[in-house]
Amino acid sequence: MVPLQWYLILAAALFCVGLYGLLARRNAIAVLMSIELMLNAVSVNLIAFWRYTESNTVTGQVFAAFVYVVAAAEVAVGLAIIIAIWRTKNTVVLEEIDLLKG
Amino acid sequence: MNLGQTLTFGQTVWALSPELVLLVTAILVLILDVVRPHQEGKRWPPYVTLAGLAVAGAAVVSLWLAGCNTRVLAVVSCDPFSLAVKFIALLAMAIVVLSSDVFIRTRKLSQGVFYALLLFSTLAICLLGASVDLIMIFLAFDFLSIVSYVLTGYLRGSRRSAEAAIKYMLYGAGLSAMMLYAMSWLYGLTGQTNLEGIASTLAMGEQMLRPMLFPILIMLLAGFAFKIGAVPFHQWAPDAYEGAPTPVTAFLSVGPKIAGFALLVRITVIAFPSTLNFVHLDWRTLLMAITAVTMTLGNLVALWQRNIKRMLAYSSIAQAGYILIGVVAASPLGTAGVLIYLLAYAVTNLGAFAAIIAFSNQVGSDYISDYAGLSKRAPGLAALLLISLLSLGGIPPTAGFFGKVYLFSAALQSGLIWLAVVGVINSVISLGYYWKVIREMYMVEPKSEDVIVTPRSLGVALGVTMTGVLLVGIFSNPLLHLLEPVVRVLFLRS
Repeated sequence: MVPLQWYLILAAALFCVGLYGLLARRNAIAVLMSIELMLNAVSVNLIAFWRYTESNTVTGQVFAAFVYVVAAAEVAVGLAIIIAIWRTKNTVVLEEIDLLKG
Repeated sequence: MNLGQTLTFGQTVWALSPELVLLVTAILVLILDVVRPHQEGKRWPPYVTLAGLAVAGAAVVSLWLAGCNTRVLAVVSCDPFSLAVKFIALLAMAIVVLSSDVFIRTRKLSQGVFYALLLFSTLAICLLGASVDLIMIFLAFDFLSIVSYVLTGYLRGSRRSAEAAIKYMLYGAGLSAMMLYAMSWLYGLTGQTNLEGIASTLAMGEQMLRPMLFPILIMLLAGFAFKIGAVPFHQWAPDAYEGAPTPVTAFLSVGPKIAGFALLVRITVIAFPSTLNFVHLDWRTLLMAITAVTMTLGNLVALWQRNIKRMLAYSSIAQAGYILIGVVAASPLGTAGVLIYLLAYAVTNLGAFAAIIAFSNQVGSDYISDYAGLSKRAPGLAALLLISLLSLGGIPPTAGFFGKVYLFSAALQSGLIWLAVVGVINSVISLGYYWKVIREMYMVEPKSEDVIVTPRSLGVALGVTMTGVLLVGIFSNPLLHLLEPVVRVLFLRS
């Protein structure tokens, strides 16, 4: 069986890629995708921990399932807001969305 | 209903009745909105919403009087602390509803959806204040976040509103993903999602886990700091506050803070209690640093603001810093202080926002310089805004003063003298920017002679908040004696 650490390293790598994207990408949709990567890392973590530590309960699975539910809701609202931005400003590049500052 | 007792179906429903009432009312508002569409200037949605909030409030009071202290479905706690949080949240949301009425109606926005969203966010706050399980916490946390994003972007076609929503959303989703990653590790290390289970598992091998727990704590606190608007995760607040529709700004400045602080108190007291030496020390050290920086930065930046909504955004960041003192104190007095200050802050800040909404509704500006001579154009409104600002600044005999007294004395009791000193210095700094508005209102000649008329619903909101400010101030001591024994239960369990 593949050791638990491999899964954790995979999840950590996914999380770091997502975090980098969150901080570095300028396109709002790409940032949203990066956040999804971070949530995927969470799911990998949860399932791996569940499988290797206490597979007699379903807590980890339930947790992971809810992560997907919330991720889907977040994307739906996120894309709706991005469309609202596109309609009013004709851009999804974050640096050009700069009406509010100070 | 006591701990350890198995609940019957009826008791479960009763214990969850505040949440169920809110859910049913929200769905009812949505259905009524569909059944009777395009009714110009309809008046019923705020009334139905207020009725729902009142019934939920009655349910909370009945549970409090019954001395409810139990677990419902293993993930939600029905105890005096969560009931107090729910009561504050329901009161605050009722004031938000009163202040929204005119704003939403004059702008011809969909009323049903707006009030349903407010009810859903109240539901999320109630759930978050009562959750004792990581899965439930994260669900309620993101529920509240997602509803808040939609509310922030509610002004359709407004660039500022959409921009505020996208900044809030990307910031919030990123930080909640980070918090969730920390939760997945906490689950992995302990094999538990229940807060008490986490505490008892950590007690067995805390020292060995410390190097791993430290980054987990940082990521967890990042999520909480976002919700309460604490430094260094506060940058969303000024933009979201300025761009959001003003009644939503009022909601954002209070709702998520109530939920965030309830969650913070519960997690720190139950999952990382003082019986765990290292983790307890670590989270307190981290939070202490956040507290001091949040107060100072919020107050200093507020001094330079010219837009009153932005100024109140930084002011609310500073206020979150004061409340954090009570969390760091990690004592029954501190926790009771957090609850009292949350109540005082909710009525005070919502009073200030109700006055701002009444002003901008007619004048159409949020700049402090336009408040010139308000005392001549609307003496009553100016006086009420004055009382709110004095209470925010902590001048006796207002609610804000007594709230601060308890928080600072909790810090002294827990040996955090320097934190109390930083808090007092900051209260003095904060008077600087509150004074700026007061001077503008009372000592500068008005630019126009137009009298500002306050609509009736806003007048009611202002009346309720001012009564709250004075009552909480006068009855702060009985309130403390009421709350301190019941929050002590939280500490005994650990």
